[in-house]
Amino acid sequence: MNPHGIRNFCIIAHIDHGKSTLADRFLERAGFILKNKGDQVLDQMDLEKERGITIKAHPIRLSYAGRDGTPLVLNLIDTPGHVDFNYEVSRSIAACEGAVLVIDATQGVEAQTVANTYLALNHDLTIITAINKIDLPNADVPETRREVEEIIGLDASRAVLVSAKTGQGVDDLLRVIEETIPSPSGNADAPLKCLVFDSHFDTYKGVVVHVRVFEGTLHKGDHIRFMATGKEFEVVEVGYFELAAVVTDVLSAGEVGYFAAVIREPSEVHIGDTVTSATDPTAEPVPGYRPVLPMVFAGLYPIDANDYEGLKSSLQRLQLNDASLTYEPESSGALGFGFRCGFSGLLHLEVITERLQREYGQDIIVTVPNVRYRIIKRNTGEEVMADSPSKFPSLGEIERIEEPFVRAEIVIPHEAIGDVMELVNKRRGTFINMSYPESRRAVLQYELPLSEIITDFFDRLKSITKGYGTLDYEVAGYRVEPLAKVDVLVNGTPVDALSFVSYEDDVQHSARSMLRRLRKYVPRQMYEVALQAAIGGKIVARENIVQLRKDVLAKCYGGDVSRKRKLLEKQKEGKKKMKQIGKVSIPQEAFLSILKREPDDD
Amino acid sequence: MNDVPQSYLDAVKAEWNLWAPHVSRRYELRSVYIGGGTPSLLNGAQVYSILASLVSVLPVSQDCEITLEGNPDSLDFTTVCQYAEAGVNRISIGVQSFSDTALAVLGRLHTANEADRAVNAVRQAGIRNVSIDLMYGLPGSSEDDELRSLRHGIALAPEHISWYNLTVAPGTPLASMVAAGSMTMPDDDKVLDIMRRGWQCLASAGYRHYEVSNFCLRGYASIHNVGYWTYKEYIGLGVGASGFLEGRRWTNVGDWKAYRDRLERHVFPVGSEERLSKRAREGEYVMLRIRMPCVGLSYADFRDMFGEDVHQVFGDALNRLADDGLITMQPDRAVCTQRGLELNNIVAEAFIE
Repeated sequence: MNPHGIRNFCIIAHIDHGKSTLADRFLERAGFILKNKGDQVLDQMDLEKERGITIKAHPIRLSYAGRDGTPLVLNLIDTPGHVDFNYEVSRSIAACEGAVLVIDATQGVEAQTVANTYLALNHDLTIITAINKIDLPNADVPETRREVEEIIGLDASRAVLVSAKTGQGVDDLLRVIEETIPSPSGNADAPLKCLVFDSHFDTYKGVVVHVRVFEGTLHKGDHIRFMATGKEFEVVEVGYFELAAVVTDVLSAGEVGYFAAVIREPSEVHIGDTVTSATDPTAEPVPGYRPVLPMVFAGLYPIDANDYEGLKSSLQRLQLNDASLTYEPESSGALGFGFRCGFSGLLHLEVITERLQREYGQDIIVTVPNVRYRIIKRNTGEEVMADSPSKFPSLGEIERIEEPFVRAEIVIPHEAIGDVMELVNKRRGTFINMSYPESRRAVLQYELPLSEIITDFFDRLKSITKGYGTLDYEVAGYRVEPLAKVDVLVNGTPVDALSFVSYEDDVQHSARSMLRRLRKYVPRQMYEVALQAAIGGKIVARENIVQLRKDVLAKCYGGDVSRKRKLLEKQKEGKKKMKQIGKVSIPQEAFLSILKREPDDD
Repeated sequence: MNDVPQSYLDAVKAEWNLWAPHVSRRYELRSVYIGGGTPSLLNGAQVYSILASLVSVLPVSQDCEITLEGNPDSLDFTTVCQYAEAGVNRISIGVQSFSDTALAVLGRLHTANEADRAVNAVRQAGIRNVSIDLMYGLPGSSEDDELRSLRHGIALAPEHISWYNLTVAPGTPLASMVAAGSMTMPDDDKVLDIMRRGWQCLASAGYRHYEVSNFCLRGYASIHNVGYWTYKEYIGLGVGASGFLEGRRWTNVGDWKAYRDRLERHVFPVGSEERLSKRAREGEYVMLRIRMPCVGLSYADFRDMFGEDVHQVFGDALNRLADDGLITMQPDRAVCTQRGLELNNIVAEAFIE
């Protein structure tokens, strides 16, 4: 295809600012008939709708008649939207030449928009501002323009005014996209160079790789190579997506589409990797590739031991569309058989556990998430990699513990510098640099232990900066830190699933905080329950749960009997979802509560 | 005071007439309980006509207990005499409290004085089996208030006392006041202390603690209520009444018009019903029996009822509860300990699937 008629772009918008509705209008203008009005095509999963996170969506090819009657092809590439997926967003953006920035005229500029706009600017994308919802009575276009100019620093005088709902201005927007976003450059005769920006698993085709072709031409039958992994495959199908896949057999420089090559293992396809020809490879890959490594580990255990196989097959299926998820079997004295899973971040962990529960009906317990520690043993100098506190050698055997550090770049509004620095210092951050790319924004560079940012760091940052703070990080290697493994004992029985690793100076505080949270979630039992935290056998904190003294229904006559039985049935069902540690029933929420720090912890 | 309309009584009788062919000659009338709402709004003739239609279908046992439930403000000497003449031999008085402050909190229209007068009127009318209902755990009442009210009740020497912990039922005015924060319920630990002291008071006054919330002088356990806890069968008549017969439990429609319309069409006015599996019935049976601290769960009765050995069915649960000190296993029965009564829901839950 002639690249002059192609425009590759993405839409950047805050949740509810109308991205999906606008996408629907584009689809209609391209002649697609949307079956269910109000049902947005691009966002697919319930979970995404609820959390406003786009996890997986197809790129869509839209064909129009251009200005002078020549065919015009718009490739709309969707972007996921959270820090754990920051890298994926950057790869989607790297596949585009332009971006449409959608701002709600009734809400103005919101934080998420700012972050992704900067990401797009860093990739030299042409940005078109669209002010949406102008049909609403409380739309304030002049104020929205002012915010775009002051907060983001873009010229808003040429912003397109639209209503994605009524369709007003959508044709103007399409014309501006055609006129201002550059058509892709690239030589169709050069050696093949494609950027992998997404993939999904198809039962029949295997992994379907979503690509942007930068150089050369991809044909059915080509022998291709993934440059980062070195894996080679034969392409069996080439095409692009409209509402469904359309087979075309060839994609050339500038185009966006997919290919399938009988790839059975999703882990062989890495987002950001470059696909080239196995016989005539390109010299340089598309820059910016980072292998997505699991950074956060947690144990996932079925509540009912009989569900182990079910959990295993659910994880298998999830992994098909999510190569950054890893899992391997492990067993816990308290929780039985389960899996140690690796995630790209805490949000990724939450998304996966929610999907397991909601889509796969798995009742699971998630253990305290942690990073992978490197432990050097005394005398032998042997190195142990521990992605779970239970894999720690005994206290006497440990020479030193090293933990992964990251170099974090935190972009915040100027006025939040003090508060953010305080937060980062509390999280053992080491200051590297601060810069002011412009008057309103500050960029802080810190080195931090990864373990300090996998819990709620991002949430805290967001709340301190009223949503405007952004965080990006990359692994900076292992550092020795004074750390200790803290065991949690319930009535004297250590519960391995509750063990955690703490910074030594913080042990008292974190142990107490952990026990307090646990106490809140463990219901009163028939006997007093002692919760203790210990390091190598020495108790460092203790909380008691007083015994349940009274639980009796006062009246139980004729009509009350069924009600009472049903209530007891329900209670019993609830207890089945708890884990028995000796005689103590611990609800799922108790394990989950440990993920969250209390607000007063900082 | 308004009377109960004749149309309601006619409808209740019509419902009974639907039952008559199913039950006549198969059952004996062991107890009648005229309760729910304010039955003391019935006049003597109306009570008589209800009882007359019951006995025209079923033979009456010799010691048949016929209870009528009433509020203190509607039980006067003349009316109770008429009830007694009609055949009522037990009156249950909804006193609730002998503290006017507490009565106001509960939204009751009567006063403590009226309650005293009602008890006396019932006595004078010749009723020899008198029960009073009292509550504790009321918002704003101190431990001493609650026990004072109980002692007041004991001093009137009724044959039977139901002493309940107030539970806030959802949808009631009290529930919304508690939700809004204008009323605070006492915490469980405080209520437990009141409960223990009250049980002691009752015991030392000679009242047998025969069910979680029920106490009586020797020989005055309510035949009717013990029936619920020993899984006896019963038929409920009237709007919203429940029944339990031949493994089926039902509740009538709760709406007067719907109730009347069904009966005009000669259809049972059942609103909901369930048929219980044997396992569910066994669980319920134990759940109810175990509410009675003296009688408890008799192994022989269980075998008579279900043809199975209770140790086969619930052996694990019984052993576990005994280990936990919630029940004691006697040679012929399992009974709750004091702790088992205080944690009766935990005991009951062990038998429910």
